[in-house]
Formats: sequence, structure tokens, C-alpha cells
Amino acid sequence: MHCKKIKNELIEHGHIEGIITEPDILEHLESCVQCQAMIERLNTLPKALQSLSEENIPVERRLRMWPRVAESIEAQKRKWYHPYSVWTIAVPSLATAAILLMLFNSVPATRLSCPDSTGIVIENARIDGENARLSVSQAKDPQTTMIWLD
Amino acid sequence: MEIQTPLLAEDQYDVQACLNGDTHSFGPLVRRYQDRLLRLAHYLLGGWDDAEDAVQETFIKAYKRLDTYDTKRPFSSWLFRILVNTCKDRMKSAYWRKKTSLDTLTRMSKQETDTLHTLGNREILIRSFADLTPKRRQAILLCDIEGYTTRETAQIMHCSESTVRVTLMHARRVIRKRYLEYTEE
Repeated sequence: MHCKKIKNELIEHGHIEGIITEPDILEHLESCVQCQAMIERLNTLPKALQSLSEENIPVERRLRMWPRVAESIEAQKRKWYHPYSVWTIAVPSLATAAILLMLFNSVPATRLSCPDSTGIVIENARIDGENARLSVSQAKDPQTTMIWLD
Repeated sequence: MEIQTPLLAEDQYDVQACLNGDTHSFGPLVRRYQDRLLRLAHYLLGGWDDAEDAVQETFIKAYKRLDTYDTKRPFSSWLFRILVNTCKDRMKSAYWRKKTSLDTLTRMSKQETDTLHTLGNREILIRSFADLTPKRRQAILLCDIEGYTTRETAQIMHCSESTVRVTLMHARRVIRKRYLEYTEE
């Protein structure tokens, strides 16, 4: 019974000084070998924890750390100085050009002809062996005059 | 009484040299802190390979963000903070979740626990760490092994000092319990 209480207090506080004051438990502690061993074991815990900070690191891991870090830094530096490769510029440019080309090709070419019934021929001429005619006509909008060369 | 980590003149000198464009000055910083970082990452993540990757990542991040380092504070605390965050991110990753679920399957059976009496203190403590949550593990490693004050640990873990104290209290309780169980004759 007392052993369990002592164990619980040890787990809770790490020590029992000033925590267990009951005379019967203190009396038990003086005679119980198991409880004394438990306290002794727990007293080695801080030193055991501290010893972990002195644990040796595998040599090969220590030796390759800086070369690997330096290599990564150098690789990233190259990336920082040349952030854009040829492809990062070429691919969007080519894509834009292709889209524009498709757009222009999709608009059908329309050929307007001179509404010669209403137009007045100003000049008849031959250009490069073909007949050409310069005429003026009035559009539906009275303020617009159309000049044609065909 | 807790002792604050001192500012190291050589750290400040090397950091300044790096900021002036001398990449090679980062080498001494790596060599100065790699052991402590590797050890901490090893206890946090539970394996040397993961620890090595995490520490490498930490140094690369530190180099990239060197201009954000406050030279009035110890360089080691700043580095440990990056490492703790890197380990946290790793533990959140899908790879880690898959790995730890496998670990759970292969966890110590009752029979294995019975043979713990033959283990040394180091192995007992490492097994005890496995029973701690990542946050409790971080707190106990930084305070009880690395020797940081609760204030410094709070800065590294990005939480309040009182949170660190409570976390430490729970962590130490678990460690004491496991230590007594595993060393029981």
C-alpha cells in the first residue's frame, strides 16, 4: 500500500522530500528495500537524460553534411541567378503566337464590291495590265461618302 | 536558476560574412551545430536517415533566410526553431503518417517489453520518448537534454512559457513512469 503511494508520488514529483510527511509512510520507507531501490533508480534519471546530449553521431553523417548543404546552396544559387530557362520564355511565346494565328485564320476574308449603280466613276485606268476604276458613292448615312478602287 | 544561451562571437562573424556573400562562411556554422541538430532530430523523428534529411533541410532554409535572423539572439536558438518546424512538417506529411502507421503495427509487444531489463539507460529513454506526443518530446529534449531555459524553449517551440512548463511537467511524469517500469527488477 505504502509502496504504491511512494511510487505515485515519485512519478508525480520526481522526489518525495517534503511531499510525504506521514510518519507511518516514512517509517515504511526506512525499512522497505524495494522503495529505496526505486528512489535510487529514479535518481539516475537526470544523469541518464544528460548523457543523451553526449551521444556520438555516426562519422559518415557528420562528414557529408556540409558538402551536401554546400551543393544544395550552390544549385539554388544558380537557380536564383537564372530563374528563367529558355523554355519558360519560349513555350508561352509560341503558345501565344499559335493562338493569334488561329484567331486570324478563323475570320473569313470579306471582299466588298463597289455599289456601282449609285457611284460616280472618277477615273478609269490600267494598273499592271488590268482595268482599274476609282469611284465615289453615297452610303445610306448621308454624312458618309465611300471612295472605291477596284 | 536557468542560464540563457550566450551569443557566440564566431556565430555573428560567420553570419555577417555569409550575408556579405561568402557562402563558405556557412561551413563553420554547419560544423558547429550539426551534431546537436542531428541528435535532436534523431530523438524527435526516431531514425538517423530522417534526421539527416531534416537537418540538411534546416541548414538550407537557414541559409536562405539568413537575412531574417535577429543578430541580438543566439544563432543556435534560431537554428533549433527552424529544425523543430521542419520536423513538425515532416511528421505531418503523408510519408510520415504511412511510416508511423507501419511502426504502430510493429510496436513493442508485451514479450519485448519483458526484455527491456536487459537494455541500457539510453535505449530505455529512447523507448520512453516513443510514448510522448511530439510536443512533449520537443519540450523534454530542448530543456532536459539540450539545456535550454523554458523561455528559450518557448521561443523555439513558438508557444508561451507557461505552456512549456505544463508540457514539461506531463512529459517528465511519463518519462519517470516508463523509466521506473523499464528498470524494475
